[in-house]
Amino acid sequence: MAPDTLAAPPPAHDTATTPPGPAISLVDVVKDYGGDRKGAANGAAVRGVDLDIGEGEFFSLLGPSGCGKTTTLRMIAGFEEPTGGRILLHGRDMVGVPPDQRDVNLVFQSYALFPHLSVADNVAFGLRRHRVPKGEIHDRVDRMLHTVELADKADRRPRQLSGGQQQRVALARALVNRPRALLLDEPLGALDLKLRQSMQLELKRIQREVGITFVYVTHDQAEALTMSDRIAVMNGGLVEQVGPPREVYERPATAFVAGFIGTSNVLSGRLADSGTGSGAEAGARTGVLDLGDGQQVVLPLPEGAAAGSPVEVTVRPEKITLGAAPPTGRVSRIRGTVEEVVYLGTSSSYAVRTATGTELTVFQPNDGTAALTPGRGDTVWLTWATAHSYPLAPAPAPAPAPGPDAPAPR
Amino acid sequence: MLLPPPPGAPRPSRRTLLRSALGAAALAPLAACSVPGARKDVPTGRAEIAAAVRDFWSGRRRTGKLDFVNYTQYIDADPADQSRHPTLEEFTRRTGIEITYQELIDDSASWFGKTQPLFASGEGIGHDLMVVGSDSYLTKYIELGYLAPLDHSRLPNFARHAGAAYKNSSFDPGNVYTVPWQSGMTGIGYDPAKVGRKITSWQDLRDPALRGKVGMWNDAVQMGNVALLAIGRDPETSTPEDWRRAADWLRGQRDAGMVRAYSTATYQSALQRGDLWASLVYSGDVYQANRSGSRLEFVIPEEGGLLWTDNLCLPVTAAGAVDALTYMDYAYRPEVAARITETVQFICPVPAARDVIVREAAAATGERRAALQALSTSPLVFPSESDQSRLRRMRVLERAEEKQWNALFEPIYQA
Amino acid sequence: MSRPPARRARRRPVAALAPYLMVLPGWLWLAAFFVAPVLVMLSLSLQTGDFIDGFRQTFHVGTYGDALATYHTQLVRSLLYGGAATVCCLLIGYPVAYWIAFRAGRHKSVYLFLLLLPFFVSFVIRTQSWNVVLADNGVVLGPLKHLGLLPGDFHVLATPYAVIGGLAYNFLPFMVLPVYVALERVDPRLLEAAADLYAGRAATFGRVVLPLSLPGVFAGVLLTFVPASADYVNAAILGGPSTTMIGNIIQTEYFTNLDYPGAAALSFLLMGTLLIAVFLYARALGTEDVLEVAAR
Repeated sequence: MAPDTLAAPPPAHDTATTPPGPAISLVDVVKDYGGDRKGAANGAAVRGVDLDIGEGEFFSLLGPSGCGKTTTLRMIAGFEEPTGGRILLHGRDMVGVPPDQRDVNLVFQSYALFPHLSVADNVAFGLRRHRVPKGEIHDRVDRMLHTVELADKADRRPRQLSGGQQQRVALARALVNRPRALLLDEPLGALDLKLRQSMQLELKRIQREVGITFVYVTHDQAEALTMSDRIAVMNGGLVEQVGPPREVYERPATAFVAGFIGTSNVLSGRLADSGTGSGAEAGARTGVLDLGDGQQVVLPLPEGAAAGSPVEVTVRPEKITLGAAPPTGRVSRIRGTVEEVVYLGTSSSYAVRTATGTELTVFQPNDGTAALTPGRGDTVWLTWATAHSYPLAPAPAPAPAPGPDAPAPR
Repeated sequence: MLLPPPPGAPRPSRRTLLRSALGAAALAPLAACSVPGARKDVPTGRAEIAAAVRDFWSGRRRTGKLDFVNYTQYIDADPADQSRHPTLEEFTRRTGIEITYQELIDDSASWFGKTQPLFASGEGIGHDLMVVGSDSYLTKYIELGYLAPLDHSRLPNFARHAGAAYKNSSFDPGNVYTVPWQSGMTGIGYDPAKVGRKITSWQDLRDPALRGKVGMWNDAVQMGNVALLAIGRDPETSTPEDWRRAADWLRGQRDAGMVRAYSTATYQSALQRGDLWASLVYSGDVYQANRSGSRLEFVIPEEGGLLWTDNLCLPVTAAGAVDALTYMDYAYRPEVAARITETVQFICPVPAARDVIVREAAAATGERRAALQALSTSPLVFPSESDQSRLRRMRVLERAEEKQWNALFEPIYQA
Repeated sequence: MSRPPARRARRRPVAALAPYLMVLPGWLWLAAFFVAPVLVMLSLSLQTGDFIDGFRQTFHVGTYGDALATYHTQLVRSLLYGGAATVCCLLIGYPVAYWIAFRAGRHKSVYLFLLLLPFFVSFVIRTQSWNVVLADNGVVLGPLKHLGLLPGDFHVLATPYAVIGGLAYNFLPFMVLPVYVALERVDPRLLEAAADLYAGRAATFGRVVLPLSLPGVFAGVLLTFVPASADYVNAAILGGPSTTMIGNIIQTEYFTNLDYPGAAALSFLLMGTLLIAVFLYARALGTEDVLEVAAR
């Protein structure tokens, strides 16, 4: 399946991963704070986002700070009004509807628990606003506190709880309302690593249990890969790629995605040969980047690529194998010198400097299957299967120098 | 700290001991800070006073320096430079005595509060001459022995020129400690345009037509004396029974809703603005209000008005006592008194000053002539015989009487 | 437990004393400027005598009874005026503080400065100026009377309303500032959280903003009520024939009558009454809750 890239994919064609009838649709959503706002002088925070988020899906918005992911989330919640486009919740246009009348709930990065209310009262807050009968409130709060394993803390004040417990109260306070979708704004950002990892699993479990659509904002690619059904990678106010974690990781659509998710090796050059590949490539058209001196990169030929056109190719470190002699045939092969070896336990990481000066990272498992375990200064040959060469789409219309932490929306 | 109990006495338990020790410790500071009495023996009788005068003045010499402390704007001033006082400069020229003149006194109560501890400690107040009103504080200064008895053999001008109405008053019979500086009257000030008729009597302050438009004072001394006049009693000879009736008169006025406010702080401006139509006032208030454009009238009611006097006196601690006495006598020269009166416009204790002003008016021309003529004929500065005959002195209260007096009159304005 | 006792004895004193030494200046300050004057006043209130003969300590508690019997009207009136002024301050001050905290944007400090601007003028002059503004035929009442909107003999000055108004005016910043500080401390994300949890504007204010600002309201009420009840300037300058407050009485007793025990006893009665009022108020509001929120 073609990578579900940037610029306006027709909505809901992605039937394989999205259940029918998107829970949330964003249609060409733009948020422009205007030139007068400090830090956003270069224009829009969100520059035209189209997304369809399926019912019950765990959907992540991933990107560096200032990429527009939080602004996008806040527009869904209703705290920001888009300056263009439409936001549909279950088909209903939400633009202009205040947050208290939207059937979504937000879990804040800082939790934003009410300090003057007990845990139980915090959780009951939304139900009381909806004038749910008292007995039902009690039952639902009680059940929800059990779900997040805080039943014994119901009478505590938020500041008497640990960070992880506060986090679960925030989650309970949102989930107890049974919203059509739950929005989470870097909810684990304030927790330490260990707690964060256990909370990731916890969140995933809760999401499976309640079956509600989660829209999850994070800048942590590992977190996004671990938890999400699908990920939208954002950069400079635009979505660069949408897809399941494996697809985004293994087949990054752009150099940005490749660089942002995991470690990636990028090689660039001009296409030397536009002929079809050998039978081994199962009829797929392949191309070759000739790096000279017997070195080459073989790659699936991008649509419409002509000989001589510039191409960037990415390959993941764990796909590369090391050998003492150059492999033969129509396969990628590059010579380099090992500059650094880092032992990582289950694997080792090699930094290899190629003849052209590019540094490539290679992971080799330490399970004894590695053909070669070179040391520093050794000359090695790198190779990988053609299927693991990913030509990158040309960069999208360059975002005008997104500031270090651009529009930091509040 | 605690003595052992005598043999045979029940031994107090430790707790009792502790408690009484704590109690004693807590009460000790309470008992410790009693305020010591300030009374001194004050000479009475001709012979005692003469002895006291001799004691005080024997061996005292001129120092060539005089420190004079006064109320604000209460002496002549050069129209071109308000900080220069021609009569003081003249004094220095004539006598060679250098004068330090300061206007530090705002009101009797606060000045008494400021100076009393300095007198009590024997430290002295550093001034040689001060002005004190004819109120209860003057009585306290005298009773406490803070004032020096005056040597009248060195006050020939006072003997010659002081007006009879201002000498020998009940607050200082025989002028043992004080000589008058300036006097004033308490009467009724009103706006004829608002009232629509002439006010002539204290009873007019109970006229229903003025309901809610009358200003009275939160000052027990003035209020009580005025009310005594209103019920037809001379304050100086009044009895406690009269006081009760006076208080009833004030209460009746109050209960009839006549009074808008009891305040010495606001009556002047309220009268000028028209919030008050008639009020208890000092004679000088009306003069000042009219100078800034009001058209108020001052009246000494037919039952009588109050005459009060501010006085020059010498603190016992005065280093320049002889210099101060020299100045006292100088102030009673008619031409000096005339010049001071020209500026301050209160009642001058030197009747002869009027002749000086009349003479000066005859010699002057234009505006100055008119001003001097107006001054010499002003009933506020030189009250007529008939006005004078209607002026009464305030009652001087013994301490025991003061309590009774306050208990009668304070509740009227402190309701 | 296992630490050698000798070593423990050697190290302990300094460590144990340190916190006490650190609060020592505070205690000294309190002792010198609060405890000592209060003891002197207490002692004075129990003495008898008069200014000329001196006052002697006789532990005469009767002064309190006399003072209360004579001046209970003024004492109660002071609390009523102080309370009414405090309510006015709250009704005016809270919206002002709210507006500055949430709506004034980057001009907050300008508005706070404007609020405080009158207080660079002397208290008495500032109060006196109301006599001009509210004069019977002045800039406010004059035109209204001229238009026939008010009867000709209507007046504000020399009434209890003038005194209460003057108190409210003079003590308004003591209400606004603590309320403002409390509101300023409210995390704006809590307001978003409330909106996210279906609270409209009214519910957000009533359930989140108001409870969180209560510590400021508590402080503001104390800071307004206590000095307003003890004030004497407003009653003296703006009051009428029956608006004497206890502060005026104390002033007369002390400065005019030189009755130090009487004035001291009245001061203690005022202090005691205010403490009781404050205590009841704290109980009614639930101080613990207030302080707990304040401590967050």
